[in-house]
Formats: sequence, C-alpha cells, structure tokens
Amino acid sequence: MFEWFSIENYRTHVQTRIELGPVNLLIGANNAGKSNLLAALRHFSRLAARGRPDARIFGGAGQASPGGPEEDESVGQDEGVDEQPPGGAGPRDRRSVVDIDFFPHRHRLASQTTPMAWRCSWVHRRGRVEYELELAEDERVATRVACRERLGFALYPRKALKWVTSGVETPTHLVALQGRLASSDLAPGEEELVTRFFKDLATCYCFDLQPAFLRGQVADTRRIVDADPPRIPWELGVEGVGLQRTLLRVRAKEQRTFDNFRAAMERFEPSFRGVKDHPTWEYPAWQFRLTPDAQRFDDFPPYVVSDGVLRAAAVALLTSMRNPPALILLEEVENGVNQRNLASFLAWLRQAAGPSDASDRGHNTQFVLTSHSAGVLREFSEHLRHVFHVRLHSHGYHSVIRDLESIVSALVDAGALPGEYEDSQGRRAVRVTPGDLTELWFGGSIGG
Amino acid sequence: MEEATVLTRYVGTIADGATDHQALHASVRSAVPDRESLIAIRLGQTIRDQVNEFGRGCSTAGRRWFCDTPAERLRQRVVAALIAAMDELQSHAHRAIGPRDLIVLSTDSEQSLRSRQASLEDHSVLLPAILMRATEEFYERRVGWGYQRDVLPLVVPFVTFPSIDLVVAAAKVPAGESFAHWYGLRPRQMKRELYGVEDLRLLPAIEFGERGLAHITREACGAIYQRVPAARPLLRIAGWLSSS
Repeated sequence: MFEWFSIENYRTHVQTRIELGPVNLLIGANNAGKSNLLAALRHFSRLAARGRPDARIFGGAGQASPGGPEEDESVGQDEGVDEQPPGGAGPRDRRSVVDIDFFPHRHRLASQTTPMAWRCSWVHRRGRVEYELELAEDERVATRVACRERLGFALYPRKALKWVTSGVETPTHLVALQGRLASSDLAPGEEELVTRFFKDLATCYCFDLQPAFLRGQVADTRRIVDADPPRIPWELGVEGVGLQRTLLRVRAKEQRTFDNFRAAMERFEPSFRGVKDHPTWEYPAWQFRLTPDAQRFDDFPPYVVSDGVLRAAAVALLTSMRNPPALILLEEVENGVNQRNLASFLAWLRQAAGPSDASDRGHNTQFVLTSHSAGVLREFSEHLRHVFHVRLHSHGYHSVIRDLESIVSALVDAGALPGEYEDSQGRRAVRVTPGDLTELWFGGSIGG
Repeated sequence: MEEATVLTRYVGTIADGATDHQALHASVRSAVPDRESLIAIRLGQTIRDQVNEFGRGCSTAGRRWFCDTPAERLRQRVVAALIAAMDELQSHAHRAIGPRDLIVLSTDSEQSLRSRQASLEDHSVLLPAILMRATEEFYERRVGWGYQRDVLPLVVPFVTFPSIDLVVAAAKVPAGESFAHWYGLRPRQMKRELYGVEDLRLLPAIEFGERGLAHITREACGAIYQRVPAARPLLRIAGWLSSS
C-alpha cells in the first residue's frame, strides 16, 4: 500500500504531502486544488507506466508475468487508448518525456529551474520502496524536459534503503529507471519487490463518472482488446463509457465478481435484479422487479435507469473486483446519489479496501475521493485523519492541504466544539459526532 | 511634495449571504478614505444557522439569557467560525495578517426594532453581546496558543436589525426625509420596498448593484452612522483604522 505521496510544482500544488489511509477524502471549495491533486497522482502513474520496458513489467511480451493471473490488472488506464498528442509522444514512444507532460502542468509561478516532482512511499509484506521522479526544463536533452528518478528499496528485515538512480548523473528525457533495473542484477526478492511496486504505481485509476457516458449515450471510441478475465477499471473508462459493455463481459467471464456486484446493488436498490444481454436491443437490459412476484422481472434500457443507480453500479463493479488495483481515485462520488445511500457507497469502499493485513500489500486497495457533500463527510467522522481540507492560498496561488483531525482538534481544544480524545490503533484520535461535523461544514468552519 | 503612503488592509466578512457580503464591503469602503487600499474578502464562514437555532432555543425557553444552553452553543460555534475565518483571511493575504486587518462578524437578527432607541434595550443587546464574548474567547484562545497581538486581526461583531438592508435603506433615503418608517419593517417588507422583490435571490446582481450598493457611498456614510446604531462601531473602526 502507499503510505504517502508528495507533489511539488504540479499545477496549484507547490509542495503537498498526503498520508494515505485505506479510504481518503479531499474536501474544499471549488477551485481549491482537489482535482489537481488527483491529476497529479494520475500523471505520476502515467509516467511510471510509460517507463515500463514492455507491456509487462520486467517481462517481455509473451512471457508469463510474475504473480499469476492478477497481473492482467496491471494494464494502465490509458493503455490501448487511441491518443496521439500533437507533436509529442504517442503510444509507440512511451518512454519519452515531452513538453505535454511538463509545461501545461508546472506551477505557473515556479521558476524555470524548479522541477516538477513526485515522491511516494510504498510498503509490502516483504519490504519497502521509496520512489522519486522529477521533470525539469533542460536544453541539453532532445525534448527540453529532463527526467530524474531515484528508487530506494529494502527487503525486510533490512531497514536502510538501497538506492538506484536514472538521469541524475547524465541528463535524459527518458523514464528509464525501470528498464535499467530490468537488465540489472537484482536479487530475486528485490526484483519481485520493485516489480510489484511499479505495477501498483502504474495501475492507478481515476474516475470522473458521468451519466451520459454510463448510460452508453456517448460512443466508446477506444481501441479495446478483450482480455480474459476483463480488465474492469480500464474497460470502464474514466467517465464510465464502458460500463454497459463491461457489465456483460463480467457477467460472462467473471461469475463471482458479477454475483458480488449484484448483491451489492440489491442492497443499494432492492428492486435491482441484474444486467443481461437483450435479444434485440443493441444495449444490455437492466432488470428490476416491480411487483411482489419474485419470478417477474422487467427489462429496461440503460438510458431510462437513474443516474444514481448507474453511478452506484460503476462503483459496485469496481469494489467487487477480486484483484483490485492499488489506488482508485474517484471524483465527486456523491453526484446523483441520495444521501441515505451514501453510507452504502462508503461501506463498499471500506469493504473493498479491507483491513490493513488483507493482502501482501496491506489493504487490498486504497481510495482517494473528492466530495462537496456533507453526507459523505459524516461518514468520515471516525476517520478524520483521512480527510484532507484543500484550500487555495491567493498569495503564490498554491494549494495547502491539512488533515481534518488537526483542524478539529484545534476546535475541540479551543472549547469551540464538543469532542473527546481516545486511543485508536496506538495513537490519540479526536472524536466528534457526525452531527457536529456537519454543522461545522455548513457553518464554513471546515470544508469551505 | 510628499508622496502619500498607500496602506493595504484586508477586510474579511462573515455574513449570511452573497448580498450581505457586498453590502458590508460597500459600508466599510464608505468609511475609508481614498489613500487607503482596501482588499475585501468574502470569508466562507457563516453563523446564520447557529443564530437561528439560538433564536428558536430562546423561544422554546420563553426567555433569553446570556448563559443559557442556546447562547453557550452559539458562542462555541462563533469561536469555531472565527478560528477558521482567521486562517482563511491569512490564505488570501500577501503578507502576515495583523491588527490593522478586520474580520467583520456579521449576521442578520431577523428582528425588527420599533425605533432607533430600541437598539439599546436588553433583548437587542443580547445577541451582539454573545458575539462580543465569543470574540474575546477567540482572542483568549489565540493568545493562549502563543499568538502575539501584532498577528491577530481586529474582529468587529455587527448584528443588523432586522437585516443588512437597513444599512442600504439608511444610505438610500434622502437626507431630511423621515427614517422612522423603516425601523418597524419586517425583513421581507423592507426588501420589497427597497428592491421590489422579497427574496434577493430573485434579483439579478446588476439590479442589486443599482438599487442597493450604488447608494452606499462616502457621502452616505454619515446617514448610515446616524440612522443605524448597530453600524456605528464598524464605521468608527473603519474610519479610525484609516487614520492610524
């Protein structure tokens, strides 16, 4: 699991560090920098994915990938997407770092010599990895943007990190470290550790689910290669354009995942019964039970299904996966969803994340959400250290991020809010009621 | 010739809504002379819900008192709002916030007064007094946390009776014309007479500017001071700041 990320000079984030829990929430005013933070993580992931020597990390095409069938999930979200940036790198030139990766995103007030940088810490049952990637303007390289990478890793019980670098001594425009490691003499345990790290980093998925896309009213123009089993997050697409198709594929190929999805949806919407191929429609039929007759279902085309149900379906599908990606980013998860159902949403996410010892990498998966909803915030009243308030400072035009636990603790200490402290997992945590939290939100004392 | 020094002051407002912020900014500007550079900021905090809850709590109890539970709860929430407001004001400033910067802690009481003098009666001073006490508690907490006076903004509580529209009316009604009629008006009546609508959300921004804000000028500052007692501390402080 990822312990923390830090970002420098990416859009409004001059210097931001975020300590991640299993399910994390970003709140703040419009234009504060919440989506920029998600974009920064996504950008980092894309660059890491671009650095892979081949389609599979450390494994040439056609080779068995380490770790078994779950490696099929290691396809990045943009893999196979028909994108060809003007004048820049395309799918066939994945290792190049070009202007489009740097100039549009660099903080506008940063000096010319200041790099844009990402850092992260990742832990696994077998060891720990820290990774840094910097992009900096450099006339000496072909694309005018140099890439510097540093990777530190340690197999337990060793504590000190062993560092390898790329682009530090000799400037390069390539995200080359992974390729260099692939041809180096790493010990088998070390190779597996860094392989898993890069796989986790490269499979960070970001979703900004939109109703027209979820309904299938927007054509899916991506070049999709059917994989078996389905690569759910990738096939779903950022806005959910592949939902209808993916559901049918999951139903046909991944019965257990589909059963989990249907059970979750039935809890969300009791009349929901499933999704199936329709003999004459070009789109799947969504089945609902409208009468007490348990055997009678009615079929509906997706474009008449409620926005909230479609969005719930996309999230339920993601959280029903057997081998979820390491990091899932969800924009404004509450849109179209009734307040009462938000608790179900958040419960799905927590169940999908699992406990801290759920897998070799700790939590099964981690989520970062953005929200403008007091209803979502209520669900985090016992997890305040995983809620982050993002605020844009006018001076220097930069986002500042602060965890809600420190904000709420200050209010409790000031006697401005009833609350109490209790020991939780070996640390002192502040507890306030969901009602008080909501009241502070509406009063603008938090979240504004 | 001596060059005038332009001072920049930040004025953050805590208010019930967008039009209240605009009217407050205009009021402060009306009291500040030309040489002052004033940066007005709408802060994201509001105490409207807490004030309404306080009003309901008082009605239920059948009396109003400084130490009642509703008053205590209101005071707590105001302290929370001020702590957040100071952070937010600092996030907008290009220098460290200090005592020459203002946080205007404003809310509409939604209670009409019978006359100008009624603002001195007990039930009229209770809400401002709670805000003042919360303000002092805010300073007490900040000082307790090690903040020095030169990094703390000046907080000015400003409770309007019944709403900020009384300030607009005071600026708009020509000098020499009786103003007594406006004191007894309920908030909706006052809005109807001032702007032609009972709900300001229905009034386009440009018309609010023409029918309301355009009248809050430096020339009208004296009329506001004379007709709206609750506005006097704010106008005095704004004027005093300008000469400091």
